[in-house]
Amino acid sequence: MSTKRHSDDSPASQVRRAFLRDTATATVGAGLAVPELLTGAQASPAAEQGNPVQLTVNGKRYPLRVPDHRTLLLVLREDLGLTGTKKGCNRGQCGACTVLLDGDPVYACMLLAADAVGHEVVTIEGLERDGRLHPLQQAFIERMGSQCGHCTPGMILSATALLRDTPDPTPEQVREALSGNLCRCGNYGNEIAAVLDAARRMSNPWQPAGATEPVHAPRSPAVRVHKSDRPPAPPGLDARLPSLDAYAKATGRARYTGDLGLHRDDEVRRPLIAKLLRCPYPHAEALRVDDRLARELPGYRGLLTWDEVPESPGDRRCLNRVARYVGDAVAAVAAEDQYTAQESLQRLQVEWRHLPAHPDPQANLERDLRAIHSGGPVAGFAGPQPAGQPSMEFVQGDLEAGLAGADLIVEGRYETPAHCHAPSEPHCCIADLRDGKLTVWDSQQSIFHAREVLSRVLHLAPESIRVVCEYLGGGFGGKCLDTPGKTLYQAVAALLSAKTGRPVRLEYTLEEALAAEDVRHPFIFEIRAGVTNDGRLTALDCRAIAATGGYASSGPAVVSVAGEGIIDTYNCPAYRYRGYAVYTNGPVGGEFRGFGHPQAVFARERHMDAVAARLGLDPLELRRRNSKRTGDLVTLGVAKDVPLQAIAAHRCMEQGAKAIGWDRWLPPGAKSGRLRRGLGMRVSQEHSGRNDSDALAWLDRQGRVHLPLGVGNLGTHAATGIAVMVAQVLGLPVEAIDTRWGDTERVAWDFVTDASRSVHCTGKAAYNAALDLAGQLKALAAPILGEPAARLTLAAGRVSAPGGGSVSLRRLAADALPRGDLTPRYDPQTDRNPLLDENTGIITAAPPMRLHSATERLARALLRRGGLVGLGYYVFHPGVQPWGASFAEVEVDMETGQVEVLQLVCAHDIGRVIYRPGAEAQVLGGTIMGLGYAQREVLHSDPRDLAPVNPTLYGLGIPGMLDYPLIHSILVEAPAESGPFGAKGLGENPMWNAAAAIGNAIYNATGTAIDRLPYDWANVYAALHPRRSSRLSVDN
Amino acid sequence: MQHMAIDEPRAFRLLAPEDLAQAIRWAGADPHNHVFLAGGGDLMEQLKTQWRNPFTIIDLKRLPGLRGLQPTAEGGLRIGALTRLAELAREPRLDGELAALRDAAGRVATPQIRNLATLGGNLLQDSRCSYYRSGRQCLRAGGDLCDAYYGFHQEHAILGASRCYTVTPSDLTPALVALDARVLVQGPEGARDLPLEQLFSATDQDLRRMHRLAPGEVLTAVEIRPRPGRRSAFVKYAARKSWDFALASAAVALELKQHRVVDARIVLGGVAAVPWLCPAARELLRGREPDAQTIDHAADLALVGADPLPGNRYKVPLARKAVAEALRRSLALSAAPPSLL
Repeated sequence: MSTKRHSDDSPASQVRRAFLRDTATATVGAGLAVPELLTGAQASPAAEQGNPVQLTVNGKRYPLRVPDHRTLLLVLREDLGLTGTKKGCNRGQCGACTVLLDGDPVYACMLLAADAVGHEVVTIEGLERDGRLHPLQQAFIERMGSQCGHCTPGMILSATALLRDTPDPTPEQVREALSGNLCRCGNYGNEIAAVLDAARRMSNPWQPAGATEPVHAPRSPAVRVHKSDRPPAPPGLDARLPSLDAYAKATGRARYTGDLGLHRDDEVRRPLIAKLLRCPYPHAEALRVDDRLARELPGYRGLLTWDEVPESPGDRRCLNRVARYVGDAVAAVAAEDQYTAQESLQRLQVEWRHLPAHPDPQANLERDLRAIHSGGPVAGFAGPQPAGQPSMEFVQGDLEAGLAGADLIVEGRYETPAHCHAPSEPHCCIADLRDGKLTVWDSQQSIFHAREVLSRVLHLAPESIRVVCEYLGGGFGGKCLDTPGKTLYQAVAALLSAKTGRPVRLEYTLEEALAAEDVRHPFIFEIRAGVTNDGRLTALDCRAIAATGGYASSGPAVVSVAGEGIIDTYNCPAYRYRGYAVYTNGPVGGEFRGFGHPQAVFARERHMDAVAARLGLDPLELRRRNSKRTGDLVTLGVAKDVPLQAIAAHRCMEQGAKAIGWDRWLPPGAKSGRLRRGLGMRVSQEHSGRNDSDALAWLDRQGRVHLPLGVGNLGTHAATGIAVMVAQVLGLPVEAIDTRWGDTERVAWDFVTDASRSVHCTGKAAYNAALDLAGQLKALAAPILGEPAARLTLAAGRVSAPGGGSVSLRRLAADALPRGDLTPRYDPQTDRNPLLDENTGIITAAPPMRLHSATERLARALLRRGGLVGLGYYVFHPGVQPWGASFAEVEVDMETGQVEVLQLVCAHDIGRVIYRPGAEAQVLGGTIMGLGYAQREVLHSDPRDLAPVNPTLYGLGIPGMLDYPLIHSILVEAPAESGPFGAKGLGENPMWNAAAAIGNAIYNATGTAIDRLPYDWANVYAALHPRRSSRLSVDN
Repeated sequence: MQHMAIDEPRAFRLLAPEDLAQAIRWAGADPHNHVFLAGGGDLMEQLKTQWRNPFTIIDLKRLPGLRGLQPTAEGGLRIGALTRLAELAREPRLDGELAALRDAAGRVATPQIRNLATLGGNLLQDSRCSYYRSGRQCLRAGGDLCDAYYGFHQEHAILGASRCYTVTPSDLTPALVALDARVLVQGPEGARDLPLEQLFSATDQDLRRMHRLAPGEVLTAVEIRPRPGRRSAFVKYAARKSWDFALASAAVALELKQHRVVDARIVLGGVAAVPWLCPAARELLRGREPDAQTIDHAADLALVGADPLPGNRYKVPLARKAVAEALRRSLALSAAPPSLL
């Protein structure tokens, strides 16, 4: 696509328009077969030296100069600007860079460009023919083939080769052919369905593309989607339309942060390349960094060390003199190109003072260790604190009385491991800090919070910082700059930019993304539960220790949310939770899909099965008796004792139990033989977000509605879901609304994009903004139509009266007077709720319900251009809880400890299905991610040097297309009063579908309680066959 | 330790020889600082982490005559070292008697890697021990201790380990050793050939290298001789079903005469630094008509001498299961397998 930029035109809206054009006619305008070459002379300085070669890419010959050691991937992306080929792991492990070499898929990152000479290379840009998309691209668009979309071009190219050789593949053949393409979003079922659909289209050329079949109905045998028993939805919701950005992702046009700076029309060009000097030791002080040898390199542009970094709040800086874990950043270099940057790093001479390392959180707590942070071993909200002070404590009722009143007290200890986000796209930013104005293009979930944090860390006014992220290749909490305790690589790039006067790009390697970034906290839970003989909880006591590593990051908050996870599912008159985020010299624990819940739910639900076993009760029945219902009190969170809005915990359990055949459940004692099957389950709640959201809907003078959302684009398709709701309120087709996101200077403010909050929180604000706009339109139309506003309706771009008269939005917009008052619309009954200020910890019971200044500024700017602006606001209601129940069936080989998960059933109450393809994708993908957590994924650190041992995608065992079982998704609807159309959150819930249910199923099969994740062969075997002798005395 | 922030190679010179003789000559010109590049599946990773920084890379990719399958005079098969694994995995001449090789090739890594990776490269991979490859000064890297022994060793050796606990990462090796393959080698001193099992060095022989090719020597082909009544199977257990190294694998080649075992070559992969032959199991099976009990007994014997570390005890029953499964599969081939060609 040849793109000409208009001043008010984001790339997102351009590709959206192209997409709309395309879906209407099944063709794309100009096509992008010939990329705009960055060169005459190439863009990358590295390519200025090198041998003259000729590469054939997408049928076109390119004369280039290529150094011997340059890979095909870099030549395609950096020299030819063909960024549809994505850079993922860059180590031949993920498949994002898959291209065709003489028709066969290969990893472009593992092939020297010189070895592609004489061969035909085809990239995603080369699949379009005569302005038409390839049927695979069309199918990926229409069948939710992408979540974050970063793996999509590679997937499509692998599938191209499959369909060439096997025009009518079975689902198994698709899985095999695409098994070299990892999708961390776990969207495999949809990808398989898309390939099968494309095969049908290609074998039946007379069928117009996408014309006759429903847009989304996964058919893979590995994905079974159940219809739910839902209340009637308003017409227009729950549509199976393609996601708003599906076209951009399936064609390679979506530009992720790492793709920027490589095209002529990018806002930023020729950034310097930065590399971080990371400490190879778990605890050491950098005494001196000498760059004398680096300075001999012509392309070297400078060094930044810890002592040039401004003071910032919290226990961590972007560069630290004392490194507190392996991989801690102490300095950074900048150079003209990547090779020089690497060579500069190699040439730094560093003098370290080694400090003793303290890996064990329990020992650090017992010793009240002050050696990592002088304030104490516990990470608290206000900083390091002594061992006697938990990060968070929740107490209610009389614990001793509750325990005394119990017929039975059951104790247990549970352990969970460090877990990596492993997003497809490595973290990357480009920072341009000049004249006190900072622009950061970042792989970032939460652009406004990133702006806020960077403002505090760099001592710049928030208004002078712009953060941009249009496409994000997987976030999962790992790309969420919402506290100054994060790694802050963006600040490093900004400071280097200020120092060099150039934009600076900092991109992680795979190993940095896995081991130097935050991980999911390892936890130890000690739980004591009192129960009566008839299975009622009387008391719950839990002590949780989370290893938060060298820095607090999100530790205290994660420990708090884990407490909610332990306590808030079941009714229990007395409880105590003491959670400690404890400093160690291990990897830093941070936020990761679920934020403490996955760990807590695993522990609590394993414990419930232990209780059930002791009572001789069916585990499902025990949960039925204790699980909360609508109207029960939410005991924790920003507001205590708030009644739960509608929940369907029991319906989730019933429907899930029915789907898996729970009536087959037998106690472990009834099983025998080498291969044993078992059933297990879990139930739990989640929150639907946190804090507040603004939203703005602008009707311009031409009658077009614009929806600039503050929501991050992680691949959850939240923007599509929100647009569906706004379209519904305004009586417009979704396509008619110009929905955009990802630029702090162009969209309404939003608190953050995490905590399963987007469709519920941002969605409710947008819903309110749409109602606000609708109200203004009706008020303007009322005198024209001679009817009271209350009797008017909006449909098809007009305001209509019951008698038949109508007036177009365009006319109303043209005549509108700008509003002076910027008070947003909200429902005082449901939308005004207690608001937590996370900087001070102060909760305001009745917040002022005002827009953030950024949204007000945007509103004023738009009003100056005419038309009408609708404004909405929402503060999260803690009584809005999505619930879920999951069920697993496993088969265990008692001799080897092999566990085969036969099926998973996942029932989720999400309030109201707004955008079904997106919701299903979250369930399937989150479940697969949770399956990896349950079965394999651990970041191991060496017990002696504490360095990560397995920071590779195969070392961690990220699930691939052949690594998941049959997954049933059941969407249940219990609409919440505060939710837009009743919608609640969903993004995180599926993350804990697998671990506890599988653990309980293993117990059910074997009678052996395994209370430590993961359920890999080594752990299960060791539990089934306890070691008899130790051999540690053997000499080595 | 290597820098975490590095994932592109240092500059090197890439030489593309016109023929094998030139490749060997060029290697001789830079005897201590060259490597041969074939598919690159292993080498590219070594270069990108800058774990290995050779000055000269001799690119064998385009050498003529080293790719593809050819019948030999004695009715066997010669497979060129540059034959891609993807080609082996779909090669009809590897059905039946040589199924173990075909199946092993199909289980290596991913379709993308199999499209570039070569037979020779798969046999000559370096250790994938994450300690060794991280730049730590482990025993294999010239240090004093095996870090894995004291550290994380779920994936390490249970058989034949002598101080270093690395395992062979190759899936093709056990299959080809079971098929009693020979390798053809060309070097500065001329050509030689040897049984494949002698290509590898056990940890008590040479800790620093997985194989025994001399500097400048190029593995050019593998030869498999025909055996009447032979059938074979390969079973691999890995944590993931694609892109993963074997935690335990087993290749079995049985020669049968009227259902009676004439010879049984059973080879384990992923459990020792070298492909692990199981002579006791072979002896047990010889002359017998294997039934379920014999298979289990043979599988037990295959693991005789296993001495796992605390963290990898699970590998013993896993390898045993792989042997039993491979034996069952090779016996289940009911029809007489087609001849090699």
